[in-house]
Amino acid sequence: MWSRFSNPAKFEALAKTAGPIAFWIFAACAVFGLVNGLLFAPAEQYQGESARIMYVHVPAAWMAMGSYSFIALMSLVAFVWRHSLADVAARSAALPGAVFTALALFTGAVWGKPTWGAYWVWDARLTSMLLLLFIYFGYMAVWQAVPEQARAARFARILALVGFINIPIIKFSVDWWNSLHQPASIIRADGPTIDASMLWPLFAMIIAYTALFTWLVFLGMRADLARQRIEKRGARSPSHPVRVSAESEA
Amino acid sequence: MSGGMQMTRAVLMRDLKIAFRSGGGWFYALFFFAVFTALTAIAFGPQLSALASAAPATVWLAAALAIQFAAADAFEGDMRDGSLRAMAAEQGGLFNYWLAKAGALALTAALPMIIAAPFFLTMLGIAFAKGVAMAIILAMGAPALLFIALLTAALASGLRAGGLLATIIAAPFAAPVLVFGVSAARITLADGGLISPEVLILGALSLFMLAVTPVFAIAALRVSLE
Amino acid sequence: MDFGAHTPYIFVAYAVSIIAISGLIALRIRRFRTSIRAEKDASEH
Repeated sequence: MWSRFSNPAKFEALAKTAGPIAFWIFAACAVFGLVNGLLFAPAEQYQGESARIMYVHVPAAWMAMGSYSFIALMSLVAFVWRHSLADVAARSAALPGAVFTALALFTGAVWGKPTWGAYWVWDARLTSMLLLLFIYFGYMAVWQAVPEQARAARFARILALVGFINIPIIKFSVDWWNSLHQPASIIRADGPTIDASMLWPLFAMIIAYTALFTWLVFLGMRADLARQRIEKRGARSPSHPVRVSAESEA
Repeated sequence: MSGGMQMTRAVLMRDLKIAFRSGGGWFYALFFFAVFTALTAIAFGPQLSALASAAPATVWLAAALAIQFAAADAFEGDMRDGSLRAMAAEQGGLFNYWLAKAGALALTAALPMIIAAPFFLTMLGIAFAKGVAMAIILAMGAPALLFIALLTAALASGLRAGGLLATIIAAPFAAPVLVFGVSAARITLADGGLISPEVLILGALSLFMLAVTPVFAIAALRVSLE
Repeated sequence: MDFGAHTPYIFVAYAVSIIAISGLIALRIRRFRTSIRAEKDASEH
């Protein structure tokens, strides 16, 4: 199992089959979740219709943290066992993770308007999500700031791990900070009153976002690995310099 | 052990000598602190009552930024002239080096600021005795800020546009220190008590950063050297 | 789909989520295709 992930050739074979599977799980669950969430699920009893935003907010928030955990885990693997494939995986997870975090913030703000009467409230969860987004920015900036991939990877590992260690502390401090200024005022989806007809679309959306993340990471990794092979070949035969398109993605 | 300590002391003394000679940078952080405080007063308007309520936040923001900027080029010189490479070659050399840098930064950037804080706080409408208490709280949290700043400086030492990037990277890590620093200062202002859970957590944050950041800072310095 | 006063908020949240995710997918697919093509071109030399 493990060797399949650490050997680029075996990984490529795995990604070729697992990627499309992840995509179809994503597509099926997203259609089920969106249709049910928008059309068939009942309005929530305290917040009314606006609680439907939950079906796009909760999965985004889940994957915001999930992607970062993945980055940190891969960074740990790269840090300890020096698997370069783990660096590629961590890098491929950064952009989807940042987008999920931004989406969690945005949908949270839009949900906040009818609930709190303001788009942005310095609620503990929104605030720690914002700080998580800043951590993503720093992580992606490090990849951008170093031209040589192998070197950038080693800086990025360090930052990812430091960030992961700090997340619980940030969370704790923001909760503390928030409890001083205002009591928590929103009834969230994690309350005990949630109905099964709301739970199923929510589950479907969480699975959809997770599968989407998996697929995107596989795609990004295969692209990065292809680029690495080109660079290696270019280094071996300088008489045929290979032009790699300059577009870059952290 | 003694060799390591000797090296730490040698680097520390050299840095202090550089900082305190004429034209050295020991007062930069202090100046930044002063300028930031004055700008805050100008921005908030001259009413002392309004300034006093903003004082805890002002002092902590000024301290966090001043330490961040003071640490930004902590490793540049040694990276450029190769002395960092020489120290990395020794057993445990980089840890002793990190220790010396932390000490130098504490003495040249954090300490002058902490000593000056009560005077600046007086200008913001805080009674001097309360200002002293707030300076003591600042001393509890300043090490955490310093260790974060050193870590991000080590990361940035090998990067393009390192200074600004270091500040971005440091921001989320500095947030907990600001949270507990400002609330501890507020509590002291409100009832005069110095020991609060916030102050203890602030101290714990400093200890935690002391335990965690050197490993990563040293790893980052090693990557920068390659 | 009428959600009363909440309709615009719900639509904006869903629309932005779908657009952002579509953009992300498009970006990844394009990058994947250009990389694979570049590799193929390189191996033909």
